[in-house]
Amino acid sequence: MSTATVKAKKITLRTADNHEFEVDEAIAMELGAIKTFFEDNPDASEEPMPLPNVTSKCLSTIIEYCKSHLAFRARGGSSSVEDEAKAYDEEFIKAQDNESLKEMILAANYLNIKDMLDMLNQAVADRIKNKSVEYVRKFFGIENDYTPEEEAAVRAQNEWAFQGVDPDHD
Amino acid sequence: MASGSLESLDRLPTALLATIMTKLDVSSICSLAVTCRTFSSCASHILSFLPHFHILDISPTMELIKPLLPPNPHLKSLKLNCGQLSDSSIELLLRPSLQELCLHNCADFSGKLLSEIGSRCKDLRSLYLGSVAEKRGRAIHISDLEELLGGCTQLEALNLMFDISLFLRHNFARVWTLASEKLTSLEIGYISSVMVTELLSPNVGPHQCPNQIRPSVLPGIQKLSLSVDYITDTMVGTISKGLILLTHLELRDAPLIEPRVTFDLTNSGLQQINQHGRLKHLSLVRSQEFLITYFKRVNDLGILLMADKCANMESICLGGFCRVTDSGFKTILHSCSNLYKLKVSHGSQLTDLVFHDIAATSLSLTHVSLGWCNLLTNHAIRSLVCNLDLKVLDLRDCKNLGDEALRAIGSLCKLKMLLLDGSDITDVGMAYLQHGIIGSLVSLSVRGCKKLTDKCISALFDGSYKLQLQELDLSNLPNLSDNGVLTLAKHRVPIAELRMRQCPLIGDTSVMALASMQVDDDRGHGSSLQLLDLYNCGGITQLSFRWLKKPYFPRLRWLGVTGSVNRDIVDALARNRPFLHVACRGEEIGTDPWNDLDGSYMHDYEELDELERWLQEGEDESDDEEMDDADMLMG
Repeated sequence: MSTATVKAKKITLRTADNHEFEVDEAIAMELGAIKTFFEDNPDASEEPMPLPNVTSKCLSTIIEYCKSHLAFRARGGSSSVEDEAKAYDEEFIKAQDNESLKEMILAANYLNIKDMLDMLNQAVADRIKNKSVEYVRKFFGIENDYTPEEEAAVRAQNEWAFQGVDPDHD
Repeated sequence: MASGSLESLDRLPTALLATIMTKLDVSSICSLAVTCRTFSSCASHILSFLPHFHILDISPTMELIKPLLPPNPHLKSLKLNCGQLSDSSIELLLRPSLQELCLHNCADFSGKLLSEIGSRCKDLRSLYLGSVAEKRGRAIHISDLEELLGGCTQLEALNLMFDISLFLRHNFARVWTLASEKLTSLEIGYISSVMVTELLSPNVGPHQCPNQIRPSVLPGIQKLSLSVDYITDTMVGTISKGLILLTHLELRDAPLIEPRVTFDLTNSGLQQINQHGRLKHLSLVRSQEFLITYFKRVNDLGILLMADKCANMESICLGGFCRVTDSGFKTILHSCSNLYKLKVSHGSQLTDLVFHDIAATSLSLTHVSLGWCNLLTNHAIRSLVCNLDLKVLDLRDCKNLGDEALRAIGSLCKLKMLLLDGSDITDVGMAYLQHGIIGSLVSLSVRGCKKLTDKCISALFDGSYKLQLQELDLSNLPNLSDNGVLTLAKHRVPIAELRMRQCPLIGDTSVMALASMQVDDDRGHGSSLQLLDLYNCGGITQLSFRWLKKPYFPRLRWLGVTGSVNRDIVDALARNRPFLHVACRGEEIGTDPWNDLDGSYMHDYEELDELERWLQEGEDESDDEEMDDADMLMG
């Protein structure tokens, strides 16, 4: 009697810096954009799929995350598993610096990974809460496009909310 | 992949930005508007679909919040400090989409607020109203309550944190039958016990015809929290019998005169608790607010009878049970195997023996509060700390606790709140906290621990890295000087609330040190303090006020000073910082008196100590006679 080995279907993803990642189909399907693509083109699974907007560092982190959450979900929805998943998310976020966080949001948005995107958005919100205006500008890489008068007016209008006075004012 | 092009990595697309901003509170959204134009227009846009609008730490004017509350069909939760608002804001605030509404400090509103909520917010599930119509000239009528209860048919939780006995007239019980059937939680700021009994009694009043069965009042209530004049047997019995689904019962009274036997809680009242077997949380507190008085008619027998029926209790709070001894308290610990929260205040006969064999029980207490239990010593604490899950340990006014207790407490690695007011600890004891729990503590109070000196600050913080400490109370420490505060500033402890009331050696240098304390680079210059209480500090002069102005202390919302320093200067400060709440008459700041349910206001040690002792000694002789009389009456 011969035992037929069932090979788990793997999908190859090629990142912007030309690295190829082989992932189980189950994990690839976590990435909404890929799932949609394969539903429209079922025969395209043989060739590596190009992701020109995602770097390899980013993709490997994302794959790790999806793998872990897939495992959590497989264990059922008990509250202890939920707590573990939450703790995992907290540790995950703690380990990311602001740049990688931003990169991941863009990637998660591009790849349409809904739950991860939501979690990352919340993490960014938590990081910019109560921070000075300069910090927020630096974080998002935005330039102050107010004239000095406009800025003074907006500051006065929102004075009550102000969570920190920048060193070069007042 | 052929899908759409992606924006460059250094700017997030506006849609994502908007999603992130909706996860922020209003105050953060508004301060973000200052960063650039895109954010500003994003912020204004978001205000029309923000689901939560919470501003509680300042009292905004109508002018301020009007632009922040445009028409918004998605607004589900509104929480506001209405100190500067009145009836004219009703239309702006009350929206049909609201499911949660929480309005504090509504003293300038009239009863119209209630009736309008009933007609405009029909989808409301949770309502909290604080101090409604407390200002002179404002009135509430029972019809306002009627419209509120009748209109909000989906209401599940109701908190009326003001004195409702002022307007409840005859036939008020009928009004409560209008309340939504889904109402499961009810909290009332003040009501008389007679009214409560009348409200919940199934029996008929003189005006009703004998065959008419009154519909049951508040049948679905699971949580009931009331402040009354006197907790009586009748009231407790009526509540326990009438509310079948009761799981949480919190009763607090504040007698104005010594209660007579028919108007008091006795052993038989306690026996009636938990008639339907569902009770999990019980709190019975007699507050010392107006009179030094206790539950003198309850002793160990009452506790035994109660504990018999309360094996499933998870939280028990007993305040003012001065006649209960170790056997009573021990019975509770040994009968309630699910207990995680134990609060006893004024347990004047509670000794170490209660906790002697606590390790033998399977209890895992997380909140323990033993206030004014003067007989407790370090031994009790040593036994208590076998509960390694302890998160809150409140040992205020346990005068005999010392450094050995702190040594034991140092092993509680999950401890978040530690209150040691009035204990006998020294600097040596504080060092025990450094090696372990100072890293996890969020709130620490050593108010009135007179032996402490500046050394305790370094003992606490030397060598500590990541601190979570937010609240620190160093009031009434006669030996704490500016050097101690300098040490605090040097260690960059990121506290949000610092109280140093009545410290004679604290002066201007401390204020300067705190003003220039830079906590971390991300939050900009200046300290993170939101509350600073320097009431009656000996060395504070006009100089300090220069350091209290902007841009120092950017986050400060509450300031306590002695007004007599110079009235003009205090007024100038208030003008410079319009959103700063300044307290000049020695009142405690930052605490909400309605929420301080067990009446354990942080009191100043100088005044109450001796008086309290004298009064207690005087009382004891006449007590025993009264108790005998009561016993005879009960047969």
